[in-house]
Amino acid sequence: MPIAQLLSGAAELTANELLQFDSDYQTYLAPLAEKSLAITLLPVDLTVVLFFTAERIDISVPVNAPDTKTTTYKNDTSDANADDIACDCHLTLQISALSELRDTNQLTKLIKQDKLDIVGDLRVAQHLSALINGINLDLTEILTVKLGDVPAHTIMGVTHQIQSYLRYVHEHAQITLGEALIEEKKWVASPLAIANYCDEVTDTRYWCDRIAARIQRLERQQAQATHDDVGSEK
Amino acid sequence: MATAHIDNTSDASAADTVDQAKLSTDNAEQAEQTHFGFKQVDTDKKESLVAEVFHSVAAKYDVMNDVMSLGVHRIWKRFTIDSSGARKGHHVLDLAGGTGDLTAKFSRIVGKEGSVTLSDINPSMLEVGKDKLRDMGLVENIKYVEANAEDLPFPDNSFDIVTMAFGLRNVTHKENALASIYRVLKPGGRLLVLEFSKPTSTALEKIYDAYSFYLLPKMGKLVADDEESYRYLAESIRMHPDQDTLEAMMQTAGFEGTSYTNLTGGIVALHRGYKY
Ligand SMILES: C[S@@+](CC[C@H](N)C(=O)[O-])C[C@H]1O[C@@H](n2cnc3c(N)ncnc32)[C@H](O)[C@@H]1O
Repeated sequence: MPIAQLLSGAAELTANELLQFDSDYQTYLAPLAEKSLAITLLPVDLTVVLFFTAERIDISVPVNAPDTKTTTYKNDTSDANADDIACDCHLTLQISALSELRDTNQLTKLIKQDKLDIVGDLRVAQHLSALINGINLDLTEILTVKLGDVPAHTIMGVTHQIQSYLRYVHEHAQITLGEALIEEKKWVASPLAIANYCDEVTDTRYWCDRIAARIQRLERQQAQATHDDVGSEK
Repeated sequence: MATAHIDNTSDASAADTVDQAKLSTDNAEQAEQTHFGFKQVDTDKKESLVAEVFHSVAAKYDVMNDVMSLGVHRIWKRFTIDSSGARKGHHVLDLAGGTGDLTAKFSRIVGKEGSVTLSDINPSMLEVGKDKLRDMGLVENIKYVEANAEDLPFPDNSFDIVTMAFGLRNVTHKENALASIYRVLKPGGRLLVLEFSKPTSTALEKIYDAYSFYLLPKMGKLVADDEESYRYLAESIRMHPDQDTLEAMMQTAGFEGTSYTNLTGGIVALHRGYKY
């Protein structure tokens, strides 16, 4: 089973379904119509090509011919023939920089860092970025259309409950953990103990300073006494 | 009509039946006969028999495709398109294109500057395809041509890409079809033949035999009320040349740089060849 085609098929279906949920999607697609954009991800060297029409996006993962020097059975379906990828715009991108691509302000920075290379019409990439950022997806609406009113609101209600419960658990867990470390495990000192400790340190330093001053005075007195003794003997 | 009918209703192993059928094909060739599934028919009758099959399945063809392959035919077709190197401005011939699955996608890829010709011998299949593509809003760059693959009505060197998905096995003289395709391809153009083939493992072959000779006709009866047509489909798959034979046939027709990729364990294979 060609996995790449299975995944690109699923991605294409999802992307086009999602587009329909924003009534403005055609406004975003219009400047992309009849354009194509290839994205090659490094270091995996996987190329995905997007073909745009005014209505939808088609996703293709170009397949290389098996080694044509031999005619034996081949199962290698990776890598595309370079000349098979003739697009209006071709982005070659480090996979680690994929998330930064949404922000068009980052493009120059990524290019300088050698994480991104753009060949062809940059406007295609900019229009795609505008589409991704501009499309407005309302999850409740999507679920309502897909599942119906009642299940959608039930799911959203339950999701909100789970979210607030998780938030409560998260905050509570932090407090409980803090208390456990201080009171039970005694791995972390309580604020009072720390204050006491600081006071004790200050006291100790005070007494140390006083003792040091006394020692100095005694040393000076002894030096003076020695000096006087030597003078009277003369 | 002199037919050497081979009884395929018994539970005898499908492989045996195929062997018998192939044997009798060899003998029958002298008497100008050819196979129609496992049956032997007069060569000049095959075309109309195939036409009857596809006329009868046309309306339910898309549903049956999904049911029979559990939707996997969509992945095989995607793989074909992804192997085609199609791009804006290309001229594509979707031969034996039936209801136009490949045409739809090619039409969006090649854009207004390019064109896709959906060609089939069967007007019923073409009509279903035309309706479907129009419903999808695809009108601008698609032409519909009723034609026999063996004798294509296009000028030499017309197309950048020719695809033939699940069509070649129905053609009476495959070598004529390959030669005709070669003629209409532009130099540098490529042919992609997606067709049922020979599973690479014996275990898979056994399961596949059981599925196609037992389950497939039953599904055909249930969904399309047409057991016979789906029995023909299963039989014609077995009678189709295996991977290496088809590749050799393509080379004989003049194609260069030929290769094939087995899909789903060889149940289907995608063959490619270039005209240089
Ligand atoms: C199984 S269908 C495939 C349809 C389509 N390509 C697909 O993959 O869904 C086979 C098609 O081949 C067509 N066909 C059979 N013999 C043909 C011939 N000699 N020339 C052109 N088309 C033919 C049939 O009419 C039918 O539409």
